[in-house]
Amino acid sequence: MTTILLVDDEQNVLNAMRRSLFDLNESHALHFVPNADQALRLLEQQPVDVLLSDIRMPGMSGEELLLKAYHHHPEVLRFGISGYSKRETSIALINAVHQFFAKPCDIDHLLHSIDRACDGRDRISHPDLRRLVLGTGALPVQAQSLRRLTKELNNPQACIDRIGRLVSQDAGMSAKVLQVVNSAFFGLCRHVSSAAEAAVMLGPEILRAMVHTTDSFQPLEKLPAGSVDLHHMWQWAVQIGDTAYNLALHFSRNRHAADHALIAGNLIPIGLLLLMHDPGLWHEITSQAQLQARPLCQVERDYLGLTHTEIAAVLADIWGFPEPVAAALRYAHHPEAHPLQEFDAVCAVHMALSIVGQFGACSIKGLPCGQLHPAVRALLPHGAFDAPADFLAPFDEELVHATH
Amino acid sequence: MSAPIKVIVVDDELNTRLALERSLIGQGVQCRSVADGHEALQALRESDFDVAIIDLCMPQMNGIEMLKTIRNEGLRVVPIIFTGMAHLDKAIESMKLGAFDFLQKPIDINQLMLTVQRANEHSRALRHSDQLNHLVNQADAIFDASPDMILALDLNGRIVQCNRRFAQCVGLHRMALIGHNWNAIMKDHLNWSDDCFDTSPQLESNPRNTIRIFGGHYIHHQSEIAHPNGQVWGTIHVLRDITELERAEFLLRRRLEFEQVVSQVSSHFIGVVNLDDAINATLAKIGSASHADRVFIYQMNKMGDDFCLTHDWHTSDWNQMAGATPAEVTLAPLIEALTHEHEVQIHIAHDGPPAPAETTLCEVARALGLVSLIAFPIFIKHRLHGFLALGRLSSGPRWLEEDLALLRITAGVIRSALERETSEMLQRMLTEAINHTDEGIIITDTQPRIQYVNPAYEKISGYSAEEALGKNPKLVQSGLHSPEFYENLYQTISQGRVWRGRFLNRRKDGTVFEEASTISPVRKPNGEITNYVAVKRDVTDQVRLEARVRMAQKLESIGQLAAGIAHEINTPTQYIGDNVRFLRKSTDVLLGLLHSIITVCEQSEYPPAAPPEVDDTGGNDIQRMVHDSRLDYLAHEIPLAIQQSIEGIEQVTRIVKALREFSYPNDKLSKIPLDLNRALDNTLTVSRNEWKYVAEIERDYDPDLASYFCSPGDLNQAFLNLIVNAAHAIEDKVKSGAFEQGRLTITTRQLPEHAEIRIGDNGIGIPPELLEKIFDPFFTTKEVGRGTGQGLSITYAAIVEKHKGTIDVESRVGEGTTFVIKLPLLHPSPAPGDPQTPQSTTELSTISGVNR
Repeated sequence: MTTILLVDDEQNVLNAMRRSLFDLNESHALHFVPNADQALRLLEQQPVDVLLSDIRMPGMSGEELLLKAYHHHPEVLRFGISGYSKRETSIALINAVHQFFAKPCDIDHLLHSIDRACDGRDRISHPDLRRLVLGTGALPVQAQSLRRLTKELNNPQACIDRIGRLVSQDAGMSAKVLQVVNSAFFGLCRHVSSAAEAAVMLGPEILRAMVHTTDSFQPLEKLPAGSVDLHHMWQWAVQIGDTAYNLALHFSRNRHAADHALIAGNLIPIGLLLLMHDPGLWHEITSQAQLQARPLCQVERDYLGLTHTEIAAVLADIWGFPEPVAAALRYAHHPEAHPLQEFDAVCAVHMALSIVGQFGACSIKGLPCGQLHPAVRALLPHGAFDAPADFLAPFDEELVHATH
Repeated sequence: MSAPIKVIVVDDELNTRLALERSLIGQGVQCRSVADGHEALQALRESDFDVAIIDLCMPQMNGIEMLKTIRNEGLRVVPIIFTGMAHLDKAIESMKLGAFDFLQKPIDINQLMLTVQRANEHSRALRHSDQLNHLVNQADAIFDASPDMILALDLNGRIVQCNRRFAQCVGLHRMALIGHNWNAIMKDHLNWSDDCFDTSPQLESNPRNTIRIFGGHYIHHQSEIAHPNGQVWGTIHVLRDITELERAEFLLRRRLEFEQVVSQVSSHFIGVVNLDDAINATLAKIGSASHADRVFIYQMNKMGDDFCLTHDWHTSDWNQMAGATPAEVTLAPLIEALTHEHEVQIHIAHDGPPAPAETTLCEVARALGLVSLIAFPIFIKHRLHGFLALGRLSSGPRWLEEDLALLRITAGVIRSALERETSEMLQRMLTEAINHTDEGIIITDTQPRIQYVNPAYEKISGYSAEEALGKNPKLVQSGLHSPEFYENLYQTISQGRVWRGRFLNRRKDGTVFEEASTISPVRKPNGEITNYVAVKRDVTDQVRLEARVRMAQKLESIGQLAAGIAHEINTPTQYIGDNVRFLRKSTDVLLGLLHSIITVCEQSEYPPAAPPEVDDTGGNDIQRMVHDSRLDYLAHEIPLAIQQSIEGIEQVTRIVKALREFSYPNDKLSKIPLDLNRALDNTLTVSRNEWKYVAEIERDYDPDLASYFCSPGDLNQAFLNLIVNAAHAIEDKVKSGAFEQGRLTITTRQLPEHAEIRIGDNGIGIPPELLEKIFDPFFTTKEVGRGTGQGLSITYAAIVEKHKGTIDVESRVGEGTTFVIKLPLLHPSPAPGDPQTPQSTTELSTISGVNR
């Protein structure tokens, strides 16, 4: 049973929502409250799964309510909804809410998103991990990347393309801007195909606000013990994304599938980043992996119940990324668990992983290809996988030079 | 044959007398005889006689007495005495008294004749000597009276004779000169080293044969003196003093030269093509005329901070001199002197240091390599523009007064030439500017007739200069202005004031254009207006652009409101959508229920013979279906859903309508009637999202408020800015925790001559020190993103400038602010250049159409 708390100062809105949800079965418990104070009281009194709040309200605003929920009830899924599209109002909420909806919003879509996020969350049984996934607003980024981005943003003649490129050179930044653009934070929910594009769409002003006022990017000055080189990891992710993109475009001829594959590829390290955010948890897992001399994924699954790609998939669900992206992440290592009808983003990411190599299992340029799942191979035309190197995205030299 | 000897015989004895006469006449002598001494003297006085034969003893006057009288009177006759008695003493006395001979009676005629002949010779000699003496005396007088110096030298150079003038000039007595060697005297007395005459090369080379001695200038004329036999024994020199003559001659020549130079200098500047050439030629001319070694002009440079050598003439000697280059010369003392003096003369004296006051000036001259310098200032427009200077390398004679006059005149001519050049250049520039400016320029006389139009105005108006000249400026009148408009214009400019405003004028092709004009009178020094100058700019495009800018400002503010307005629309849309979805679901349920009921009814008899059977669940099928379909809930909710949806739609409609009225495009100059109460309501609706979370609205409208002629867009904008500001002020106070909701009060009142609108809030208020600044453009206290600082400035422009209203502000920090707007009810008379457009009537009907 999912408990949903809906907050809106406009009684008509609450009435209409209640009416349109009148046929929900017992799986949902709905609470409608007309102001933030009542909502906060309810949050204190009983467990709530989802908080959906209007933003502009007299008295305590929805903004304040959601921020309070973020700090005091991090395990609650927090969604904002507003007919207001002033940018600055929403910036403070970038870290505090998981998704943002613009009024008018289809209530069925809203409910579906809520259900999807709840499902994703329910996949996490480890309490620490659940808290980590739901309560982490700001993502860890490379300190150097952040310095470079800040410098560029402070430049009055900042070049937006360059800013986009800088953002796309860091896993945490990329994930965050993708999250913001994917949601209706600024009244618009757009389909984007890359982090660079997302950064360009947000523009320097919002990026500046994200850097300076919301601390959406948390620089990892010192990596916890046993961490991998973030830069190294990010290059791996970029290559996965690009390779998956190439594969999807080649085998599916579907641009959307290719975009989804790319984004999924780029989001792969988010799970690892999140784990690193909790040094204790991270240390436990990595030391276990070393001790048992087993791949990280297996230890993760044993320990947390989920691998880091599956954690990334949960985040994709909670953040409302397109479902194929979440699927591609979730089934990257087990494509057979996913209904395979055609060559889609799942296949592309899986195949890219097999070509580029799993992180930590081999070098970046290693090309073991025996792990391609037969179910995926079956979808490929005969002989298509004879020369996998053709699909391997070129190693981004500029990226290397720019970063080192 | 010589003239006969004339003899007079004087004897008292008749026989003797006649006998003598006879005898003498017989000897060929012209003879007269008289008996008396007195008679004889009378005869002698009356006519010339050579010889008088006088008897010594006569009764009346004896011979001795007669001799005495002859001698005393200087009568020119040679007396001979004769007597009967020989007395020696008488003879001696007679001889002493000038008698030529003493004869005794009886007289032998032959002896007498010899004596008479000798006496006659003596008489002739005497007579000759007399004449000679006379001549010499005359010559001496003439000689001494001559203003020329005359001296005669013998071949040895000794002075034989000299006249008084010469002696005076030499300063010695004539006796000290005559017989002395001339050159020796010159050397001894006058310290002359060279021989003056003969050896002097001057005498040879000087065509006029002049000589400079004794501080004067002389013409020397020399001739030889010869003996009667032709042998030259000396030379005679005549020296004529021509100093004064020469000076007069010189002055005359200078005068002529001077006049020639002046005329040439003047002619250089007539129809001058190249001023520099003319000046250079002039410098050369006056340089040679005044015997200067260097003539030059310094002028102020273009930057106006220093003087530069612009023209320089000098003699060929100049180059050999080590004059400093112009750049090294510090002219400051000279410039300083020239600003006060009409001319500055500098002479470096050889003997002794110059006076301290002149030291610095002398240094300037020295730096310029000159010993003598004279400079004349050139003033242009009462400012020292430069100077003309002449200089000499050596200390020659002082500058002549005539030269100075020439230089003064030349300086004047050059000044006026430079002045003309400057003013011509200025005029050329002005002409260029006028010809190339985009501003149209018309000059008329007071008639007014067009005297000049520049190319820009030809382009603006479409009339060529030929077509416009001489015409009345009415040429371009469009007929769209009232006669009063032109009367006002004429009143203004004829009183000597400048008129500014806008015209709607008509081009040659008939199209109307709008021009911004500034018409100013041109006055003579005595104040009389001679012309009018109109500067005009075609603002047709500008007016269009301004309208576009106004529109853009409006759009901008709407853009700022857009987020809020979106919220106002999105919220109802949200619940309308949800309600409709609910209604769809409900309808499905109801239709399903209806269908079931119909089915049940069809299956059973109708009308039912018996009440439906109650099954095990305690109800029949229909009851179960009704229960399942939550009919009670639907019956309760459906009307509400419909009702609230309609409310939502009304809200959206209201907002959209207000928005449309709020931003009604009215970019024409005309004004249309506006219901101010309604306009305020519209503005409140549009801005609702700005205030609804922080304030409640208190409206106190005067229902009798008349429609107001205005530009609605501008006024709405003004109201909006004030309302948003009030909301912000309240919001700031809410944030400070003073209260949860403030109050925004809007009051309208119909006053006798004004419509009064008060927009008040109980927000944070404005500090007194900022009150003065709030209407300044770009003044803002709001954080970036919340305001551009333009709001109140636009409000002020809309109310005060556009609608001739007033806006006052009352504010107390912490208590709130009230803006009081007063709009004059009478239609404001069109300001100059703010013409009533002819389209206003049609626009009016359009507006009322919209309002309906």
